[in-house]
Amino acid sequence: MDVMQQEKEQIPASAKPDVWQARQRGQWRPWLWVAPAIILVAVFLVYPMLSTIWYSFFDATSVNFVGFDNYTFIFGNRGMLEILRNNLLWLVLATLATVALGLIVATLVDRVPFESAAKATVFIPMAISFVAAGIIWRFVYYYVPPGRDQIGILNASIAFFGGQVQSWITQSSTSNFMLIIAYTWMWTGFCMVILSAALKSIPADIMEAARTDGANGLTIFFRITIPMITPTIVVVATTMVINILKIFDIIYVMTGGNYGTNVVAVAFYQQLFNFNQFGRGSALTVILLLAVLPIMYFNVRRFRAEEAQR
Amino acid sequence: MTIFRQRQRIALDRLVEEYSTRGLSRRIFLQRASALGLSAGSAGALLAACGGGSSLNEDPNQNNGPTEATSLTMLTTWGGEELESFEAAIKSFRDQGTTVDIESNRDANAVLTSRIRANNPPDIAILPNPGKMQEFAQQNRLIRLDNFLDMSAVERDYAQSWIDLGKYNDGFYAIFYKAANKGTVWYNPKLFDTDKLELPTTWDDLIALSDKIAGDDKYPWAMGVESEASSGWPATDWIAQLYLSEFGGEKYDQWIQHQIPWTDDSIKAAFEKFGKIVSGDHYINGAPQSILATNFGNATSQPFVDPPQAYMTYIGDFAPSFITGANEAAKPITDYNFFGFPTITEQYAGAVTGGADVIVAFKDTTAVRDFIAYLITPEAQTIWVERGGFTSPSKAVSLDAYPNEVARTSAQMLVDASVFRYGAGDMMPAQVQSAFWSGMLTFIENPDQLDSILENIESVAQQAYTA
Repeated sequence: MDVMQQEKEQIPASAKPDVWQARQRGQWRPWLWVAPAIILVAVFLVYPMLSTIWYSFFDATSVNFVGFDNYTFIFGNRGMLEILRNNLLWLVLATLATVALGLIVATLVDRVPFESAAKATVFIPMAISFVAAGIIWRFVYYYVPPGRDQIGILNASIAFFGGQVQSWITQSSTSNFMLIIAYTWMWTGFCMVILSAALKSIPADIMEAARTDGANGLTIFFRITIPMITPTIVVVATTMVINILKIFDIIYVMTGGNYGTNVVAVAFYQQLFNFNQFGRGSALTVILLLAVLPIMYFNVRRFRAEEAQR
Repeated sequence: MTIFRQRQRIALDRLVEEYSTRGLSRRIFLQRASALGLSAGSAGALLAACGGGSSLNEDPNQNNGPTEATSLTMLTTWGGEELESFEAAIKSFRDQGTTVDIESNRDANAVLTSRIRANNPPDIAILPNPGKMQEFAQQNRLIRLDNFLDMSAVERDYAQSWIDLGKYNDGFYAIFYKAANKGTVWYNPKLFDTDKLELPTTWDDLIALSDKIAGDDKYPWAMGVESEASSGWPATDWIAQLYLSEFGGEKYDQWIQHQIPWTDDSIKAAFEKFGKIVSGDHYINGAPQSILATNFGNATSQPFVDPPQAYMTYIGDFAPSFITGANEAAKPITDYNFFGFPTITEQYAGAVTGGADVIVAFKDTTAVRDFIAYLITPEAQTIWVERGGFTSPSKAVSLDAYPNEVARTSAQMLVDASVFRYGAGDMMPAQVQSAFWSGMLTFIENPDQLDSILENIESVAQQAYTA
């Protein structure tokens, strides 16, 4: 707008028609440039989103309007409440674990001789697909009744040291945590790489100044490093949160949602594809959408604030 | 829906008025609505809105005769050895010039749901249970097979119970192809011989036998219910067979139609009998966690590997493929064999549960008609029967064709069954079946939560059956 107003002031009266045309052109031209993006977003994002919200108010066949029945079903059903509880558990534990571990690894290996090797090792699981990772971890947790050869590495180690072997992913007391560990193994590398890049961007003179003032390692970490990279930590954490809210593959592969490990994305898949409950499936995705929205909003605002600072 | 031009709108309004006042036939209504530019789906929806029936879709059987086609697509869950045998069975059909494209997918249900939703179903699908078939027939998705099959031949070759299972209202929509006998307890004959054990004929015998083996510090049972996304189904087979053996066919039908609640004492009794095996003292190594963690296929082979890890296991007559998969040297009769599920109530002795893959058609083409007609010929079925792993529900297939004595006895048992019922879970709505599966997993881990497990399945059932 500012630019246009400036233009207006500079226009000599005689040249008016030409400039008017130019201004007309100037007004629709930006729309032309963004049109492909808008059309793509509208067709592949906005329309499906609106129709999903629409269908969440209809019954299983998407024909009869049922109001909020699908939502009352979700919030009034013990199985569904367990699903929401599991999502919350994932959200808190998996986010904390990946970001904290990522930060610890990034800090510990920062500027040590074997830094690249260590980072590569932690990052490698990222290159494995979720399904493959799920299968790998199923083998890690594999359980054979006591007294026979344990082929899962976890139970084999426990048996070697004389402990009590457990069926880790089929007992509801441990199953959720075991799946979160598998997820953490995959995604710590991602957090570490980004946080490590942020660490490198801390100016060396600040560190030197701190050391000169006699700060020890821990003080530097909590008083300088963390405050300096807080924006990055927030970005990484929100990425993880969105990622975790959508978690599907690991659970589908490792437990199929059984043994008290079901989450919204798996339940939605079951409702839609196994039970033909289009209304309930849509309602579950809408809940997921509502859960992600505030985080997206927060992320966008954060991004804007940072842009403004530049 | 598209926004219509004014004239079409008026014409449509008139059509709706005529339909409600003069009583046009549904077919003419649909034809005229399509002529006015409505898609088949919208026309159906409009018809439904006018009170013209609950159907969303135009009945695919209202077309006049099949369309010509020289190729067809087929969706199935069969893979590996099963698929190879199927391909062998249809080789001579393919040689006659029709192309058959087979899409094999373990998650065929999900694929089918989305393809039907997109109005792009395969020509033919092999469904693993008749529950889905009923659902599709109700939605008017399926082609009536009695329009072109020789029904007198079908009635001659198939027992009435199989034909009834393929019916929806008056139409015959599905033909049963590959059957499974789930009234079989598999045991290791060598172990039984050395320990001089007798085969049990009643439930009490079975428990006494199990206690005897357990008393010798051996494990009588092998059990595993892990099966990825469908974990728990082997345990629901137990419940179904226990229920049928104790309460008979009539009560069984009431159960699967949800005319008795899940909290009924009879259902509780079946669960408790199953619980006796699960938590029996020294019955299963590592129970209950090993049951949940062990794949059903691995559990099936446990009594038959060297050294044997158990004496017996209960599973359908598809067990031999798992047994020989784990121990190639295992021979029928000498190394593995089965006995019929023990009698619980004398009156219902010989009651057998089972399953079968059903063939349904979504499109009416000449290729589809020829293919289905070919598949049910005894000649085509005999090819697979001889290869093993296939029990035909057709009486026209000679028992001599079965590759060994064990397979023959099992097929005989299926044909002779005093009461035959389809596995209970497969007859229920998908949600109830799934709740049943996961309910079994919870029960195996915590048998004392039986009441709340049954209440939970009941609440799912109440919603699913009324919907």
